[in-house]
Amino acid sequence: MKQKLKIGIAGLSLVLFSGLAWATVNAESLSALKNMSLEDLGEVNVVVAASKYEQKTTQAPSSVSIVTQEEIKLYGYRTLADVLASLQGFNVSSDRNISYLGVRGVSLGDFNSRVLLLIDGHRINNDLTDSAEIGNEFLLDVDLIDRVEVIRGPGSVLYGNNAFFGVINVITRKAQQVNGAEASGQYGDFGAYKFRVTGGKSFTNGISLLLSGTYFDSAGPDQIYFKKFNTSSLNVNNGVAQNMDGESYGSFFGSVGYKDFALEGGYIRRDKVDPTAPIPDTFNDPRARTVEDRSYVDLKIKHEFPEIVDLTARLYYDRYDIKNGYPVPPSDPDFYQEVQLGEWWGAELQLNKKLWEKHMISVGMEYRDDFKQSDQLFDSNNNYYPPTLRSRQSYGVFAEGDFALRDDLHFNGGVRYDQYGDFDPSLSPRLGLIYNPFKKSTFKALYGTAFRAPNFQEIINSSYPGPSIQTPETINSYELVYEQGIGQHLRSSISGFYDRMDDLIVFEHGSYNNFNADSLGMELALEGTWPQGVRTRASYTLQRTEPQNLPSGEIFPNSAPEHIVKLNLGVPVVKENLFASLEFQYTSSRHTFYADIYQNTLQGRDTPGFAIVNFTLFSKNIVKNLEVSASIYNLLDESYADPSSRFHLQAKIPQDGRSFRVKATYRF
Amino acid sequence: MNCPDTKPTVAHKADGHSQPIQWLLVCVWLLLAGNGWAAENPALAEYQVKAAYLYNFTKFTDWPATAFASVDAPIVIGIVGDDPFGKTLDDLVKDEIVRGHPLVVKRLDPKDDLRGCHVLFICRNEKDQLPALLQKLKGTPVLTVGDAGDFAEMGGMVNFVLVQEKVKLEINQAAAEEASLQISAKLLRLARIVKTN
Repeated sequence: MKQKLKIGIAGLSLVLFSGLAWATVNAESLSALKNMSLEDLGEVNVVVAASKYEQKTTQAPSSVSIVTQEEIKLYGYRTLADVLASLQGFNVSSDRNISYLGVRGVSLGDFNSRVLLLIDGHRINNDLTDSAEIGNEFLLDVDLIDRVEVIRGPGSVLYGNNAFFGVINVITRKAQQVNGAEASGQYGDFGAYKFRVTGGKSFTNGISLLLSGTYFDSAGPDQIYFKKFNTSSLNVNNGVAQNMDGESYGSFFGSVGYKDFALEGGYIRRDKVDPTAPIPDTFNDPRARTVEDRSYVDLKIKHEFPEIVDLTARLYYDRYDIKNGYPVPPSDPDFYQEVQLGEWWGAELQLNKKLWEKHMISVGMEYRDDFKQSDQLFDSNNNYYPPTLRSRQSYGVFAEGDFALRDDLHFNGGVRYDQYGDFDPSLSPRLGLIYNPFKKSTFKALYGTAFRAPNFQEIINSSYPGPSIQTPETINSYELVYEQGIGQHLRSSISGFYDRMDDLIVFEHGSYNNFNADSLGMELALEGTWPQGVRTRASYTLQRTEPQNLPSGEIFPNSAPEHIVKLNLGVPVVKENLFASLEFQYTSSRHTFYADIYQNTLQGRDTPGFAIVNFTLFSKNIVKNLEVSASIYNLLDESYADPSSRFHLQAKIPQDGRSFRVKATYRF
Repeated sequence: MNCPDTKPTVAHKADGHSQPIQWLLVCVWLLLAGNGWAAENPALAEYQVKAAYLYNFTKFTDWPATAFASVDAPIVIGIVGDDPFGKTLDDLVKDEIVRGHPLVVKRLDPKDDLRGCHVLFICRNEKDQLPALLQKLKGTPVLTVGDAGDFAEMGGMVNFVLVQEKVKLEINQAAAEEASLQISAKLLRLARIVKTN
């Protein structure tokens, strides 16, 4: 703690006293800028989230990826999980109920609580499991995404809790971008269909308004086979889950803007049958289902006091509830339902100040009140059990700055102090040096820290039978990044990271324990965009995580793969009208840790590595205002499975084979 | 496609913070050497791009001869309001001559006489004053440029809009023609044409 404090104070004084400039242009890039054609100027990118203010990607103190709406259409992405699965270093898996995100060599079967997910800067992780929900359970229809910004590495310096391995900021399309109405319909394998209607307009009196609604329904595969339930000792329906993969959701999103004010809100209700019979469920019983409601409203005020400061303030209210059905083997009562509810509100204030035209300093504060967290069990005999209730208040303050020590050398530093509920306070510093020796070469040396406080679920489940988990987990991360532009249209990067993680909260042996672990990894990436519309991305990730001082007999249940390869290629077939895209993803073998009820222990085993290929044809304006696409996912029909979890008896969860989707969107 | 891993199932090592870093350092990067390093980086700050656009506007707009006192009189780029460009714009146009006219940048107050400008960038913080400013400039050959929401719909001539983190253009062609300004087809082709509401 003391050492952290020292580092924090050092960082803060550097931020406050180091003097020079946020020089955006040097003489060399100036002439290049001058000579850019009008067409090229219109293709230049800028980025927002890494420092909570606008910054170009090469100057951000992180390794950043951006996926735009254009690419979402081009590659036929159905969910945010599809988008993230295409990015370097991300490993997405599914247990056929929710999607899990593994990153930086860590996949511990938690509910994505180590990545912070934002919609337009609003925190989406819920307050029960801290889940960042990315599959169909994600609150926003992917069609409403303008772009997804992924900022790798610890981000607690700005965002506090959960920004452990990275921050994903989803920017929504604005009313003026929609500028009219859209109707969209899609149909795919397993009887999956989706409809969406969106309207957006910016009125002359200064008000802009966007409203959108979506309905999705999928019957799922008729039959899913699990060998575990077709053995001599355990045979239920010969191991076949019959019509057990149904899913539906309805969602709504709206935003209103007027002058400095932006009000937005969203709602989703999702209903999913779970074919995997997590413990203690009876296999092949459709009452094993999850119904989730997630909603929020967020008011943002952004005001510029010229010459003084830019101010952003935010006030929000969020709600999440989840009902899990547990059919249990013939007994009385034969069904339980667990209802969890969370409600919270919060306020944020941030001030950005540019000094002498060039420096940028941000200070901010945040207050949050998780005023309702409850968990209650009901059974089919109308008994209800006493609820477990919690609440907590938290606050954080931070300061961050970016300075050009020389024209080609930036220093970025900041620190954040968080008091999260009753836990020990967390101090999260970040330091970065960004060096541009040549106009197309960037070197970054980054040190970042982050924390994650135990969440409601972990607290209530760890208090029985053991003592409740009391310590926030922490990460210290060291990263080196080298980015190099190659010619006009290619960018490449290489990065290496070393993460030291302490007190990771991990479920094992029926309770939560603390583990220490180290990760080491390397990423290579190449990205190209050509004016004719050809675009490509390629990446390779090598990563390994080792537990430290593991007590004998304990297992560190990490399911991260060691190798990840991603290749994406999109090409125009008919200029401006028809595009074809191909996507390749390879994931090496992963450990799976599942439950063995007879020994109450986790078992280790491997799911083999696999490769999948997705193919999409996308057309626009062949008929004016109409976009049509056709996709085939898992084109080669690779048979593969994802690791299961500590809640499962089976070792693997089989995934879908080849499937198709067609989609049409019309603009009025 | 399967790639079986030879690693034993749960055989994680429990030793301290040892070995690794070598294979990280081994990653010396010998990707494409040579002459590929030349052209411009694809990502820049927003106002660098906008400054480059302003510079380009001087090349792709025709002013009536009466807009210049002499054949070598400067093209004046005015900025009214809280200047977001810093030194970028000045550095960019320094020593530049477009069709015989040197380029000059001037910072102005809304109360100044703005009619001496050829290009006038109206900053976001002057949004409330916009109708009055445009009214004052009516009929004079000043190319008005802005980046506030519905700038072009309100009668401004060129508006910068951010679309998928790229800076795109909206042009109110009628407003420009009313001011006797001829915007080249090359520029119009890249813009969304809007009308005054």
